[in-house]
Amino acid sequence: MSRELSALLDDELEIHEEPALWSSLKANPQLRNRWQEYQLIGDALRAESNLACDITANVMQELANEPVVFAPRAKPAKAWPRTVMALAASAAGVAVVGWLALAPQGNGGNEVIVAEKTQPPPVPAAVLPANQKGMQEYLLAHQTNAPELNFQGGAQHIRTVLVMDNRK
Amino acid sequence: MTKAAVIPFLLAALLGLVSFSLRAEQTNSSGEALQLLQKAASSAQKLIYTGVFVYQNDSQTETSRITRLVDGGNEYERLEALDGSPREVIRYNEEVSCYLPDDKLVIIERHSARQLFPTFMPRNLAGLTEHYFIRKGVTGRIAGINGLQISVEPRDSFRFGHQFWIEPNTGLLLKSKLIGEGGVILESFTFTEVKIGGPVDMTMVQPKTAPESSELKDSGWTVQRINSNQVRADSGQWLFKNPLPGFRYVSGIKKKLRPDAPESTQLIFSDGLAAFSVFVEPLAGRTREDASAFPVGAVNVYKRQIGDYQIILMGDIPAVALRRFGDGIEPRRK
Repeated sequence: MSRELSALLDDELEIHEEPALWSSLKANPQLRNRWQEYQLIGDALRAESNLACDITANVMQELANEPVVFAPRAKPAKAWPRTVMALAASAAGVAVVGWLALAPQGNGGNEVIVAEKTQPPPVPAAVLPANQKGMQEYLLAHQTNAPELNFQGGAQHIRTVLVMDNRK
Repeated sequence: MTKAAVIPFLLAALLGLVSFSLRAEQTNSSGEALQLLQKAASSAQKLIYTGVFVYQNDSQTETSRITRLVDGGNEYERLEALDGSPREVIRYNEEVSCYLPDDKLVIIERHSARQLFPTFMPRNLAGLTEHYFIRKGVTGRIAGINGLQISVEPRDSFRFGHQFWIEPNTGLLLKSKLIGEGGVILESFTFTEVKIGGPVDMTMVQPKTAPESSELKDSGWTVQRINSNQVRADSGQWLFKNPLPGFRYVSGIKKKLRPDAPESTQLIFSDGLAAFSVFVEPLAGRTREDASAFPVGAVNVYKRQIGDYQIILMGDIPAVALRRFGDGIEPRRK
């Protein structure tokens, strides 16, 4: 087991081997002591003297002295690992940056408000069969008077022309 | 903070720098794209050309010939369907005539575009950036001519996207696509051949499938005229309780769409690129119907009855947007 412990310290332990080691560490005080020693050796090698003391016993003692509170508590939100938080932060940074990049280019930043977030309600399924008959006059009026498709010159009437064929 | 935790922040900062320069690039590209759109809008009324284009929506394809002539300040256009039953649309300034030779029917719509929309294009184009992302794309070759691609993406779900390919020197629109939700192409328009500048003469913009207008009636043709009068919306009796962001009232017209129909009021709303019409008509003995929504090609229609009135909304905006606006229409209390 000490081989695995050593491998864990060197970050060389296979990920599927880890759970077994955690269980052993929990169950076996000797192994925990060895872990402490390994850490100590590591600290000493790196000359990190401030970590060269075993505070486990003290911490455990303090925990044992803590009063036990039986009040019900909301289930705590799952704590996100630090790296995930960092990634999220960078993703948020990218999002903000992206938003800046794609934000309206015109006069001032207030245009962002215009992009409405709310989705309109979906059209109910009860859509009647297309009744294109009788629509051609409306379409002609719409295409003639609505100012859209002004880039197309006379081609704006193509929709009307198409519907006129459909009525057959 | 450990090294591992620092890296993402560094990355974010780096991306920030990249995006910042991208943004400057985009502002530039957006400005250029807008300029070209403005050019296309203003030259649409001035250009002389003849060409063949293909129009396509989800279910239909149609090839048409278009000929445009500007002569002595007058605009002439002829649009001729090359597929299916023969149909022609002739425009002479504000008068649009649709000829249906199989039915010996001509529908003539007279509108006063210049009075109705004197400043609509191209001044308001700059306002488009409030509701659309406008970007310059790459140059593509359409009908043997190089066109610059302009992509127009909606910022919300109340309008469709567009892609335009514009010939940069003349501003002629060579190709366009209307893009719906999920990138679905709702309709496209592409020139397969075009000759900018002509030569185009008067004979090329006259109807070919119908006799002279003075002989129409003697030849058994039915002439259906739609005459319109401009109205003011603020005098209208309707309230629009669900306005769509960016769409403003543009103009109102009162007319009989059909000789046998009651007078219809057409109210037009536009965001500068897309537009929808609200037609309000008295029910006048028509049967009661439930509200319905259906497309007519790439144009959506939403029909409902309110009290003694029938309301038809029509436009190339998403069906949900049309319905939202339509459901917010209420009679104004006196």
